[in-house]
Amino acid sequence: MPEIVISTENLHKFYGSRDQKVHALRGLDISIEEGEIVGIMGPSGCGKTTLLNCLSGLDSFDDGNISIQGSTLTDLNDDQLSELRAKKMGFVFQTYNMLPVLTAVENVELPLLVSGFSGKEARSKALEKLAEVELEEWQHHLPGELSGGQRQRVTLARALVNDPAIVWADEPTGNLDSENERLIMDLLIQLNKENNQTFVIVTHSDYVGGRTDRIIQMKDGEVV
Amino acid sequence: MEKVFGLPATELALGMTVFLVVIFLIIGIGAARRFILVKMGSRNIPRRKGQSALIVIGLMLSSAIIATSLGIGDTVRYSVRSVALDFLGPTDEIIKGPGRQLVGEEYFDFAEFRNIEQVSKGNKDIEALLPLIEINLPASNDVLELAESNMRVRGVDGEYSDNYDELQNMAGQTVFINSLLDNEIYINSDSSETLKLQKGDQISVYTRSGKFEFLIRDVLKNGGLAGGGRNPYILFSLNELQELLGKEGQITNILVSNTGDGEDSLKLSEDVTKFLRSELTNTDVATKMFEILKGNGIPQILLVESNDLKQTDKETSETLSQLSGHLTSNDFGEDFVKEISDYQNQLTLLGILDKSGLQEDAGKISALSPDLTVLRVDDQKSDSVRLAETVATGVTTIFSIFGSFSIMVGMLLIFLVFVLLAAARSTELGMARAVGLKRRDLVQLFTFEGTIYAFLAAIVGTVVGVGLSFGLVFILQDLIDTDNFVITPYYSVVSLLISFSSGLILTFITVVFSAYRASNLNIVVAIRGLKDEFVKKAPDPLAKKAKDFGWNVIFPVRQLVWIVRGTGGRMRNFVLLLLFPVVWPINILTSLFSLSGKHNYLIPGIFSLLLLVSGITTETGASFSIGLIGSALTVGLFVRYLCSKFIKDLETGNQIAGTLEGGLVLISNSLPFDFFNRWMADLSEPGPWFWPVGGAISTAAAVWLLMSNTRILIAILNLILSRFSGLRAVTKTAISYPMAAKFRTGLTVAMFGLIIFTLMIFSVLNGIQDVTTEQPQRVTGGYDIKATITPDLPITGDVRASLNMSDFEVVSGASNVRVEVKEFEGENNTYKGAKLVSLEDEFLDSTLWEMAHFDPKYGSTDREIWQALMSDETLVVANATIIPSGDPFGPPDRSFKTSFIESGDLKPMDSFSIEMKKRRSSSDPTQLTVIGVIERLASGTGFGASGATFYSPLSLGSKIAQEDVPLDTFYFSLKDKSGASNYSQKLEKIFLANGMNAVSLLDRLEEERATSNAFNKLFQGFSGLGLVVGVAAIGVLSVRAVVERRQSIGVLRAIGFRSSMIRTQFLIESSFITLLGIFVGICLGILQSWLIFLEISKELEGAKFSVPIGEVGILIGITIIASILASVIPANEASKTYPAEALRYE
Repeated sequence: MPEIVISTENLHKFYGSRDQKVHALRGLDISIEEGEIVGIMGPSGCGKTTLLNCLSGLDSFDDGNISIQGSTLTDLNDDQLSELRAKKMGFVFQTYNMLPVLTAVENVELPLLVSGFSGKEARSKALEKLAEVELEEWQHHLPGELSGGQRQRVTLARALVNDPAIVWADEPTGNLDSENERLIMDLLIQLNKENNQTFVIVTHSDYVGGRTDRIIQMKDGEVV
Repeated sequence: MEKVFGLPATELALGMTVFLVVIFLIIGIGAARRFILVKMGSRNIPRRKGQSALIVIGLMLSSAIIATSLGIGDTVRYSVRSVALDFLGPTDEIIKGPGRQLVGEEYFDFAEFRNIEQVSKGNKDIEALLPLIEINLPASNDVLELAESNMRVRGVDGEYSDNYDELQNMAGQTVFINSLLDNEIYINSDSSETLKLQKGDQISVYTRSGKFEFLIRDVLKNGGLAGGGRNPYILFSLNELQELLGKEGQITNILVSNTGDGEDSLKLSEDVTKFLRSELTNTDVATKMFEILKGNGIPQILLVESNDLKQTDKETSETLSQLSGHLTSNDFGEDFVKEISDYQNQLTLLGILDKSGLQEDAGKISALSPDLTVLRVDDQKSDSVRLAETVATGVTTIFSIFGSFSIMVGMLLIFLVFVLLAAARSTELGMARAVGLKRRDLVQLFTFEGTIYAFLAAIVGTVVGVGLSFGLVFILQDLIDTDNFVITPYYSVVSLLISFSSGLILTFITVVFSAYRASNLNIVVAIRGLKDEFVKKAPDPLAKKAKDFGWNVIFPVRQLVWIVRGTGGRMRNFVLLLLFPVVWPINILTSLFSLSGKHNYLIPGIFSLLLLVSGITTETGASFSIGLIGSALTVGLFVRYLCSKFIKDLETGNQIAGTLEGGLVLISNSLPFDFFNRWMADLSEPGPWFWPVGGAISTAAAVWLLMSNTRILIAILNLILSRFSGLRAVTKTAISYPMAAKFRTGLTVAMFGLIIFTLMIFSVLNGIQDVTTEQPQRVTGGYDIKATITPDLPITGDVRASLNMSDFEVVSGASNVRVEVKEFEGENNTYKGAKLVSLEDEFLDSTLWEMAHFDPKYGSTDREIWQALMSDETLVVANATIIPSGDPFGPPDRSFKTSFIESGDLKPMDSFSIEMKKRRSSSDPTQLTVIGVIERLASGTGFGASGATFYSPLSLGSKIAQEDVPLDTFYFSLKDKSGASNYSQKLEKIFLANGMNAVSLLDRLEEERATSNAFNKLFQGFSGLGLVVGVAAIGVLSVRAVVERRQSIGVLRAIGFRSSMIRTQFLIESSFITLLGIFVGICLGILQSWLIFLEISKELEGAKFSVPIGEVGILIGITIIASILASVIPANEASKTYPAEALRYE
């Protein structure tokens, strides 16, 4: 029986001031098992990215509970949350969000350096990961010199380089054409199979949704 | 001040104000036409208050520094002037004896006064005359055992004094000289303070005849006739003092007061001086001189000489030109008499005649000279005002030069701010362009915003500058530590206008330039955030570039044609036409660059070559140096062209070219000052303003070199920092960001580099001067006490007879005689003033003063040179003042200079002959041989060697003077060295009747060292003001970085960066940039100091070059801490940003 790695309990999140509060998440109860690829879908403004941010500890929430691999997020302080992200999570964003001043390999090795790996170790692991996403030749190129698809593959390598238990992806193919979208999803599924990592993917794309194991459909801050 | 930055102050203020009004009018019209641009430009100022405040602080510095420099100059000028006017009271001119007497006060007959009184009656410009005796005498309060060895004593003729100046007692009542009874005197309040004497007390006065007691009739307020400033004065009736001194019927001075007060009387000074000189000149003698000078083509010779001297000695050149004019037009009038009666002018004429082979005429003039002037007229008040002006201009120049580094840094900040603003708003501006805004609209938009900053900064800067100037002058007063000088804070409206306008104009020009650059964006690039390379414009065809260049050569014609045709906006073309003096050369240059295309290195190459050739042919150092630097740059640019042709990897090509460009420029600007001396003639000194220019060039070159090699720098730093596991990730990003933004990082590094560079030079040079700490005897000669006596009260007999000689190792005396000297066979064959110090053998046998140069024929050590003087009366040594130094800050020194030795020459010299004669005499000169020159250090401390001085055995003094010259200076070497201060006081008591003034030389050296250090620190502090700008730049940079990198912060937080790591990253980043600047500044500072040291060490044997590690450590510490503090707030803000919020940010 696969272990539950992510679970929420009556999760609430508000935005804005007292007078104009927006109820972004309305009492969500979800659970995701280890090795699952879960898609979160729904119309714009339904709370998909907010949910992802709260689950990954990037954002706070107002009520309820989130548990990641047995750790309750509310029990963790900011530094512990950072450590959790560094060691157990990887992130892929729609706009790639590579650091523009670092080369491809430097971007990939950064999470390892945060986790305390030596420079040499970090470089060798980063190169391995770049090879997995077939970008070894582009290791010394800056993000500005890479195409959108290449950038997203580097981001994927960066998300996976520290062998995280969970990978969060926010519209990972949102900026890509259909060919690149397919390539990224192939890669993602292949890695999921090889490493049994859990993938939580926020997406608008029916194609991406169709390739996930399960879809959490949201509307107005609720799971429908 | 009359002149600021070498230009007439009032006209400059007026010009700047008009320029400002024009600028504001243009801006105002632009704003009225497109108010939306003003709104767009100004809305960010209140929105980002912290950033705006930082920008204003940074920008205000140019105004503040200019305002400080001018304020200090104004205050110094006003104070010196006030002291002079207070000191002189109603006196405008002083008539003195003919100047033939060598020792003591020169007396002349009272009948001369009667003559002057008679001839002055018809002159409306002269209001009053006052005959008097003015001398220095010792005085004491015997009850309290207090003494003053140098009391100014005036004997005033009561018959004239009431009419001349009002004397008031401390209660404000008017008192009269005629009211003084026998044995009664007045003292001024300073005397009262010094000797603790009051009305009714007894005061003792010492004369040659002995000690006399007088009753103090009253204590007078200082000022005017009662003595101005803070000088202690005693006032006698003239008769009483004449009787006391045994000088019945004689006086020393006639004071002359012009009609009117203040400026009115000052304006009459020139006419009154001319009139008096004319009246006091023997017309027959002057006529004879006039006749001699008219013949033999002398007027033409004078004119040629005047032209030759135009650059080097403007004053003499003008005098010679005027004299030549009078002679050519046969105009024997007051003007000619005024010029010819000036003794220095006579000496100059004699030299010129001698040089031109007209020895016979020179002999005739020389023979007539002593009879030409009956009495001398000193244009005292006018001279004092001129002196105030000179001192003030000098002070302003010094502060402006030291401040210019900070001004440059301020301008760099303005530029940086606009680079950042443009980068931050590139998308917004691209959108604005996309919806129809023109490029010039963007220039206007930025200009409006910048003008608001500039205006606010100029106001704040001027206010800060005025405050700073007052603060600094009070510190200066404390440093100078003189009771005779009272600082009165003053700021003139003209200076206020200049500092406000110049700061604003400087800022404005930089703003417009930056706005122009910022507006130069490609719409697609700006909107999509691409690199410029993506949309690089294809170059224009050669024909178009040639046509553009052709049009630009006739720019004004082009503008007129365009205005008529209506091409490109009439108003714009009209404004450009108005600005043609600036725009024309810029347009020619830019179109020339464009025309030359890839071969653009040819343009600086041609200009540099021209400058080099001009520098060599005209022997001008500045042209040569700039030509050399330009040539070095040209080589670098040529290599850049070759790289672009043969190296495919753009980054490698840029690295090679940048390294060569920066490196070669740096090397060419860092060659030793005499590097080219072996191949070419001596070049003229480039002048003080070249220093900041050279500093800026070196800094720019060093930063260019550094930023061209960021790849190497990153590799080295990563290698070093990868050892610290906790910091690996943080340092990687902290270094990568600034290294990627080379332009802004380079600008900030340059700011810190420039300031640290100046501060380092101060620190290192301060260390070099400290040679006096280790070897004080090189200043003091090994003596403990130096004492001078009043020349009118010589010590009769041997001074040693009055002393307990068991207390002393050496006691030696010296006499001083004013002489005239010229080279026997050198270029300087015009008699110039000098001093002859004749020393007793004890001095020659014991002095430890060292030689900067000596002729090895006369000895192999300094000691042997001194001893050589004892054996041959025709041998002398001179002080280092005879070597032309080209000191740009010092007062003009008109005393003798040699043409045989130059500053920086090696120690061995060839002895040379001089001719020396008694001052103002036509006696035959004595030929002497100069066998050595003592080092500049030796004449530093109170040895009175401000002009050229020669040292000889004792007998020479009397021989040159043709009379007995008494000893007036004494050097004492004590057995108990620690007792110098106490023994000085003891000596003053023993020789009170001789007016002895004794000082402990080590104490004085210590005081001078402390003062010099304090001055250094003051200038260091002033120069360090630029650090404020550097720190503000770091602050602005950090604030911008936090805003620009919001998303990146989110990503870093997402991949596990703790908030403290984000803060650390920003702090390391700002420290790293600061450290790079410090590194550049320290390297350049040490390099420049080393070059200066090489020059100094040629004259200062034993000087050691050392970098004051402690001081540099403090400097680095303060700078880094300040930078960290400036980035703490933005770094904290960055660290507190919630990751999700940061990732959402666009």
